[in-house]
Amino acid sequence: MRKIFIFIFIYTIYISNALSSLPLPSNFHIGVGNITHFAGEIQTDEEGTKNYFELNPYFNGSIDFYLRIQNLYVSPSLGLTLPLDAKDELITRFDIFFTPYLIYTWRNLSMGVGPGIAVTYYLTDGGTQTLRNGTSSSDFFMPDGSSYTQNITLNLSAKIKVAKIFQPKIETFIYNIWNNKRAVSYVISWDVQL
Amino acid sequence: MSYQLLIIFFLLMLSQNIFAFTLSNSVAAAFPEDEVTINLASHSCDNLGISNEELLDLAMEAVDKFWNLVPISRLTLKRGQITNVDSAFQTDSICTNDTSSTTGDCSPNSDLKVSSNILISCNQDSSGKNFQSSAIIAVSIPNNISISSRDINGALILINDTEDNIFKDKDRETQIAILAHEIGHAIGLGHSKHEDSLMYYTTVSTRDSLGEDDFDGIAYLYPMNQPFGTCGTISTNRKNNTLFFSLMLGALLIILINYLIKRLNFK
Repeated sequence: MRKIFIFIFIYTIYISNALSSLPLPSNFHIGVGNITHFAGEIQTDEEGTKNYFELNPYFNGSIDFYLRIQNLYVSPSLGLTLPLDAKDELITRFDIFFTPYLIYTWRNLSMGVGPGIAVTYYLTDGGTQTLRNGTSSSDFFMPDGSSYTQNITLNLSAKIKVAKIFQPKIETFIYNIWNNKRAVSYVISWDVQL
Repeated sequence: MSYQLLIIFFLLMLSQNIFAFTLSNSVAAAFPEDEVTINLASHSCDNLGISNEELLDLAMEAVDKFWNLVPISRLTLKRGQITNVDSAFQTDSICTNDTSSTTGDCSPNSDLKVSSNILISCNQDSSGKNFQSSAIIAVSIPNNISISSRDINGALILINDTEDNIFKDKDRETQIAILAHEIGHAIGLGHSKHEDSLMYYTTVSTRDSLGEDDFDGIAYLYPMNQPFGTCGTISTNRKNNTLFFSLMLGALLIILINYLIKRLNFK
C-alpha cells in the first residue's frame, strides 16, 4: 500500500520540478461528467442487460502547458468518482484517474493521448449478511479492511471548444490493452475553462 | 489555509457505496498465486450425462467467460489435468458437521483436503450432508487455508452426482454459469444479495457476464497492482489506511495547487 504513496510523492516532486522548466500554464479546466466503468462487461439485471451506460458522477481537473511546438500541450489531468446512493453502506468504493495527456489542438478540437494510472480503493466494515444458501439461509462474512487495485491504462480524449464555459469532452481509459482482460471505461463530461 | 482544509475535507468525503459482496471465510483469504489451476478428479461422473473431459471443458469455459475477464483482478484461472484422487472425494461429505459448505460454520473434512489449486470432483455422498436436496447442485469451499497468512492453499468443488441431480437437466450455458458460481466460492467469495450477480444464490435465466458485485469481490481479494508487481494489497487495518490515503492525496493536491498559485502570481 505504501509503495504507491511513496511513488506518488516522489512523482509529485518530479512533476513539480519538471513543470518549472515548462512555460506558464496556459489554461485551467474543471469538468463534471459521468463515468461508465468497463462498458459492456458488467451484467446489470437478471435479463442479461450489459452496462453500456451507467450513472456515476465524475469530476476532473486539468492544466494545459503549451510546449512551444505548434498546437501541442502537456495537460496533467486528475479525475475522481463521487458518492452514489447506497445499497449497502458497509462497503465503499472510490476511484482516482491520473493522466499526463499530450494534447494536440486543431481549430476547436483537442485530442489527447497518454498513459494513465487508475486506482480503485475499497473500504469495508466487516460483519455478516444473512443470505439465501441452497434451500435455507446462512450468514456470510463481509470483508473487514481495505484493498486497492492499481492499473496502468492507455487514455484517449477528445474535446470540442464550443465556448469557454462549454467544452464537451469524451475520455476513454483502456485497461490491459495487451491481453484478454482488456476493458474500456469512458467518461462524458462538460468542461469549463477557467 | 482554508482552501487546503476544504481540499482535505473534500477528499475524505469522496467515496461511493457499492453493492456488497461477501466472502466464504472470515479472514478474506485468497490464493497467493496469480495463476491457479483447476483440476478434475478422474473417477467417472456416472449421473451427470457428460464425460470428465467435457466437465473440465465446461469449467474452463466458465472461467474464460467470467472470472478471467476482470481487468482489475490479478487472478487468472487455468486448465489443469484429470487427476487420480482418493475415493473419499467421490463418497464423503465436504464438512464433518451438518452445515452449509460455503460459510464459516463448516468443519472441513480433513480426508478431502486439497493440497493446492482447485479440485473439482463428482460426488455421490449418501449421508445427505452435501446435498440435502436435489436442488443443491454443488458444494464448494476453500478447504486448505493458512489463517495467519490469509492464503488459500487449496479449494474443493463437489458436484452433485447423485441419481436425482438436476445439473444434467440444465442447458450448457446454465451449466457453465453454475460451475463459474462454484469456482467463485473456491476462490474465496460468498453469496451476493443481488440477482444480477453471478454469486447470487441461484442461477438466473440469462447469465452472460459478471455483475458489479462479482467484479468488486474478485478485485478486493485479488487486486491488480500494476506496474509494481502483482502481490496482494489487502489490509485489515482500515483506519490507518484511510487516514494515510487521505493525507497523501491531500498533500499531493496541496503541493500542486501551491505551485500553480505561485506560478500564477508571477504571471
